[in-house]
This record gives sequence, C-alpha cells and structure tokens, in this order.
Amino acid sequence: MEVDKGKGEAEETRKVAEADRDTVTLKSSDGKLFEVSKEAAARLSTVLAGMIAGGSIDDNGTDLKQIGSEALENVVDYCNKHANSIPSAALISSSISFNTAPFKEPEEWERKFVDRLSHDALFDLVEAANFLGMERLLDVTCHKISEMMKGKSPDQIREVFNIKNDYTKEELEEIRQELAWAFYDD
Amino acid sequence: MAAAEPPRLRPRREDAPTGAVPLDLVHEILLRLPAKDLCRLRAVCRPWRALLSDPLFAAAHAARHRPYPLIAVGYEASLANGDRVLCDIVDLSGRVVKRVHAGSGPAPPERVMSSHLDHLIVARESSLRCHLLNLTTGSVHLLPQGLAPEHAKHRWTFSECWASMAFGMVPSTGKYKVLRVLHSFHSGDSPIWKLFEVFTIDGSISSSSQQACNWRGIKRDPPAYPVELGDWYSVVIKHTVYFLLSDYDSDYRDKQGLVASFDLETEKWGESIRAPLSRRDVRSFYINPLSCFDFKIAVLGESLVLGCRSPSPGASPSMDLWFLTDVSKGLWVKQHSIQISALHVPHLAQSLLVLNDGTGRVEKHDGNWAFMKNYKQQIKSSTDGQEMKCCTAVGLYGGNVLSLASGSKVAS
Repeated sequence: MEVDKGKGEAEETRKVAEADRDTVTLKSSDGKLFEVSKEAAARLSTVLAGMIAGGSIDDNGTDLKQIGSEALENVVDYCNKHANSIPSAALISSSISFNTAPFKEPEEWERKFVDRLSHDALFDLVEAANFLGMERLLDVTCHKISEMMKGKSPDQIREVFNIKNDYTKEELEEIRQELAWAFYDD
Repeated sequence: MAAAEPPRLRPRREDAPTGAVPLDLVHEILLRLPAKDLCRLRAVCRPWRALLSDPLFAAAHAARHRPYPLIAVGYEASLANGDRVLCDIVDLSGRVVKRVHAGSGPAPPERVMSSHLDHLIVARESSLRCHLLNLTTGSVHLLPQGLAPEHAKHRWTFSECWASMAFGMVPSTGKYKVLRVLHSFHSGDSPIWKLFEVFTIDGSISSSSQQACNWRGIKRDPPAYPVELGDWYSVVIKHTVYFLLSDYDSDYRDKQGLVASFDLETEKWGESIRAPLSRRDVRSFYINPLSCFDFKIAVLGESLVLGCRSPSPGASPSMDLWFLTDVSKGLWVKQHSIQISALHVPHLAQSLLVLNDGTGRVEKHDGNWAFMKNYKQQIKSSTDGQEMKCCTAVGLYGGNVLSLASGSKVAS
C-alpha cells in the first residue's frame, strides 16, 4: 500500500514536471536525442501534438523509430528556429488528398532551409514530415522536390529517384511518340 | 560500444521500382508539377504512369493549376483529307497533342462546325445533321434533324439552307444548349430568310429517344442585322453567346461595329453593344486589305475582348485589345496593343487570347499576360511538308490535358 502510494506520488510528480517543461525530447532511429520546443512541436506536427496531449511523451526521449538522426535534426531545427512564423498545423486541413486549395509558396527562409539539403536528405525529410503530420514542412519539401524535377527527362528523373526502368525499349518508344509534344522544351 | 553504422530503417530501396520516395509522397510531389512535365514523366516507370493516368489525379491536379493552354483545330474530314482527321488538339507551338479521326470507311464527309471547352459540334454531310462530340470521353449526342415544329410552315423556304451554330453549358442545369441560325438559299423569295432555334442536349436521355426531341424556335425577335455563328464569328462566355453582327451585307457596311448577345439560359437576346471604333474604312478593303479596320471577337478568362486592327500603312501592324468592362453601359477599355503579322489578313485567322503570366494570377491583366496567336501560321510551320487541311473551326480547348493524353480512345 505504502509503496504503491509512493510510486503514485512519484508518477504524479514526474507528470507535473513533464507538463511544466517547455521542451520535449525526441529520439531518432539511431538513438540520438533532440530537444524541441513543446509549443512548436504541438503546433507544427499533428502526431507530436497527439502524443503530448495523450501523455505518451517519454522524458528520456520519445522514440521515433521511423526517422533517422539527420532528418530528425532538420525537423527539430525547422521547429525550433521558425515556429513563430508558421501557422498552426491544426488550422490546416489534415486531409491532403482532398484538399483542393492552391499550394502556398514557401517563404524565403523556408526556401533557404531546403535549398542547402542534398537529394537524400530532402527525401528523408519529406518522409519525416509526412510521418509526423507536419503539413507545412511537407508542403515546403514537396515544393522543393517538384522544383528540381521541372524540365527533367525521364532518364534524369529515374536517376535522382533511383527508379528502375520497367518498360521495354519498344514500349518506351511508343510512349515517346504518343507524347512527343511533351518532350520539346519551348 | 562498437562504432557500427546504425541500421538505416528506410533503405534506399535499390531494387524497388518505385525508388527512393514512396508512391504516396510521389503523388504529393507530382501534383505540384506543370501538366506538360507530367505527361513526359509517364515514361519514367509503370507505377508513375498508372498514377499520372488516374482520373482522380487529373482532377486533383486540375483543381490546383490553371488549365494547360491548348487549341482545338477542327477540319473537314473528307476524301481530300486522306486520313480523315477531324480535329487536332495542339499546344501553343502547334504540336499535336491529340489527333481525332472521323469514322473510317466510305462514310460521308464530316466537318467541325464549332468548338467550346472540350466539345465539338460536327456536321455529317449537311449542317442540318450534326452531333456533339465530347473530346474527353468520346461520347456522342445526336442533334435532331429538321426544323423546329413551329417553323414547319417555312419548310419549303428552308428546303435548301445552311446552319451555323454556337453552344455552351447552362450552369443551372449542367446541360449543353445549342443556338443555331438557319440561312435559306431562297432568301430572295421570302421575307423570312433566317430562323433561330435552340436545342437542349439532355445527357440523361439516350441517343435513340433524344432524336424524338426537337429544336425549338426562339420566340423573341432576333437582332435586325445579319448573324453568323461559329468559331469565326462568336464566342461563349459562361452561358452567353456573343457575336459580331455581320457586315457582308452592303446595307450595314457603314455602320459602327456591333456586338450582340444571346443568353442560353434565359433564351433572350441582349442589347447590341457598340464597338469602340467605327469600321467606316471598310470599303478600302478592296483596294488594300491591310489598310482597313479589322474586328476580331475573342475571350480572355471571362472577359469579352474585341481585337481592333487600325489601318496601318506601315510595316508593323498592331491590334488593340479592347475589354468590355461594363456590359450594361457598353464600356470598352483598351488594355493592350500587340504586334501582329503583316500576313494577318482579315477574315482568314481567328484570334485566340491566352493568359501567359505563369503565376496563376488571372484576375490581373498586368505584365506579360496575353498574346495572340495566328494559329494558321503556327500550325503550318509545325506540319511542314504535310498537306494543309481545310480548317473549319478553331478555339481554345477547355479540357484537361492529363485526361486527354491518358490514352482514352476518342472517335466519332
């Protein structure tokens, strides 16, 4: 009885302490720890907001097994530096596929943020943003990737995305002829 | 602790055909690309082609982008036009995006009468035997033959006649409505030498029973001037047909240019609107075609535009673009002046206006926003060496290029 009570009190204290903290600790797939502003995490990520509200945040580092340290560092960097200028994730429609609003152009700092990333880092970040339900970061990374795809040939795209060409030579030629107009860059 | 490389939870998927990014994110990324890039990227791999050919993807893309500008060029598909090409959908460089053939075999000649959005009106043999062709789906709706019942008394006068037509969609019903004017070859014999009729195309009625429906005569008085409809003479904005009142009748040659209208929804004629300039100089057309006024009716977004070419003895003719800013007051504002080709001979080329600002801000007509294509030259240059087909209709194509290029068979 006594022990249980003590444990309960300790639990209570820990929870209060955690609720009072203004950061949360996130742990990448490779075990690295990152501190992020709780307010920013809750505003920018629907998934983290849910975890914070549901009390499933671990003080010793909440495991994010899907996200590598490089991508998580970028996520945390994005949240910590720029939280104040970003609208709340909750205010943006959570359903991407059925949202028909025009895409919002990235801000100047958001452009700079993704411009410095390598292709691989960008691909990791877009997946992390998707996993964490960070709509705005997803928007910014998708925009950047689409920008770098513009005007590229199918060969170049396959190389960047590491895609196997599963067409036969004849099929490819047929597609090229059918869509010949789209292969001119005017 | 061993300094082992931490295991990558998401390998680069070296052997997966979808590559470094999962397909649901590829979907998000591709939605942001222009339509032309997307058509080209069908050649990347099968999963991408499947995604890019999906009608749901096309719809999601269309909701976020301005339509990719395309032009529908209609021809006469007869024996002279060997492979019976009925319509080419071309890009602004004149390259064919989609080619539509008329029925093969010893079929009667077909000719495109009018185009609007992604539909064509095609006449088979006679302008009184027409059908509406949906270029996206390939579906065909027959228009009834014969006159409206209330015009039956004019049957003899119109035993030999031709029709021209314009059509558009009525938003309140979602149905297409066709307006036609019939001209009798016997005009000298009868005071009634033109008839106006409308027909509503009801997609819910099958083609066979639709033939039982009839054209309806328009009860209200038509404009007092000669009327010609079709891509060369009329444009449709929302549900209103605008047309230049013809000037081929000598009685009207000295009149100021007039624009008239017909509301497909209410089936009422609008007040005639005076053009911003007079076309008094038209007589000199016979001395030098380049020295006269030339009016072209066109549409940009939802604005009616009148292209007015002033007499230009100089080497670089230009055309002023007047926007009808207030329909009720008949107020025109000159917003732009563009260089046109010296070969731009009146009555040979239709004017097509295309927004070219690339920013998606269509409501503002500033900067590099519009240009006019003399499509005849464009198409001629791009089909060098091919026989010139007789072009019978031309208009901006209002369909979605992603649905168009998805390989759906279009035939009439």
